[in-house]
Amino acid sequence: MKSYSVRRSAKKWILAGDSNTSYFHKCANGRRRKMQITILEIDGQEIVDNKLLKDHIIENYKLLFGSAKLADMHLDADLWPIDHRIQQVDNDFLIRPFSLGELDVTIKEMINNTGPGPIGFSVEFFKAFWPLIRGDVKEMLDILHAGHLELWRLNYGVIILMLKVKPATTIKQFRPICLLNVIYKIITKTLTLRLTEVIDKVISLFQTAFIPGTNILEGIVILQEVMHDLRSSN
Amino acid sequence: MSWNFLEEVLERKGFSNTWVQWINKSVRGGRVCIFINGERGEFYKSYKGLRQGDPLSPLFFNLVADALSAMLSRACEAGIIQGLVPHLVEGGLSHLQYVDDTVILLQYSPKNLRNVRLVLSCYEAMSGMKISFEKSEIFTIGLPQEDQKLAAACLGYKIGVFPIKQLGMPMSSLKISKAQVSYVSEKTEKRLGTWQC
Repeated sequence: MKSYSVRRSAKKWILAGDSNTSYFHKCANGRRRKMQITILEIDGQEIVDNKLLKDHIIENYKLLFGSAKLADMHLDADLWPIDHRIQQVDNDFLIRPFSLGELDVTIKEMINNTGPGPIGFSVEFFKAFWPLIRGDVKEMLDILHAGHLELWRLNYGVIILMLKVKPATTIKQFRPICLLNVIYKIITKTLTLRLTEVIDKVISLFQTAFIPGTNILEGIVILQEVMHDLRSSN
Repeated sequence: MSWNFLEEVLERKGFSNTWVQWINKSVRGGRVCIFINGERGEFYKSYKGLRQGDPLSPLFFNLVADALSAMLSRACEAGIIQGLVPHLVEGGLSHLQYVDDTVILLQYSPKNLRNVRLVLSCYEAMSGMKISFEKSEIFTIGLPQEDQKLAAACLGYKIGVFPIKQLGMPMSSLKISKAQVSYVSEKTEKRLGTWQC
């Protein structure tokens, strides 16, 4: 277990020596300072007032996650041919009952040292007490399977703002990361792992992100090849 | 991103009702608050968009982006647009996608450009997502300057200059010079520099 100040400073790569505490404290304070939003450009004007900044940021994200006004236009019912759709056997796989073994895999896949959600229990907590609580977690998933789980009661998170560029001057230059409750993420991670098993069958070959069996470099290589071909044929 | 659109994509993709219901439970009905300068604001409900931090979000993005892929492929099959290198890829290669980064490859013709613009605006209207004009560029290979200008004006994008920076890699229709590629090794070295233990 890492000491409090090491965690707070999030320096994973320095070994915690006895005398290092003040160093880690300084790192943590510096980080907090860096995360502080003190000035933003709003409609061409620089705003420094804390209250105005907050109102602007909250308004911005309320708009971003607010109601969607959409044209009355829909995808063709057979946009995807039958062989590009999820087959019965895959659907059966996706909605089969949950098992303890499956949840053991989920918890192993959860990444340590990530921000806990608003409830405050970290991934490490769930891992440490996993043998004690896995039965309860499975019970929750059984309830989901039966269609009665009130997932909304766990489905809430805190949005933190990470800088996309330094220094950020407008709200668009922040990346909103949502810290969700770990117990909620265990549920959606379990669903994610199931979906990952079948998704490559229904995603076109032109996409190369998050799909097992594809590589980030494929798109680059294809593009380079196309340009090479065009150059030599022109 | 519109949740209704995501649901529509899941249905068209043939996912079962049960699965769509599970997904709806996770996507809809979430609440968020914003943490600014050490303080949490009030929780409020969201009505669209995916949350960066939910393990399911990247895969949903793939599925929704696949709708654009399918629309472009269908347009290509119908002969409404012409992709590139038809002698290498059957029917022509019309697009490549990496998450929210899309490269559209087109044979130059005013008709092709207009039709692609139509496909893109239909996708925007349905999905509730917007193409970022500031981040979009148009690249042409072996095209006279006035046609290049026409193409850029038709889509409203800037004219890009080779090499293209695709996923951090420089790419060009011409030979890439040592100077143009040097930042890749500089960046890599900088990253490796902190790997001390």
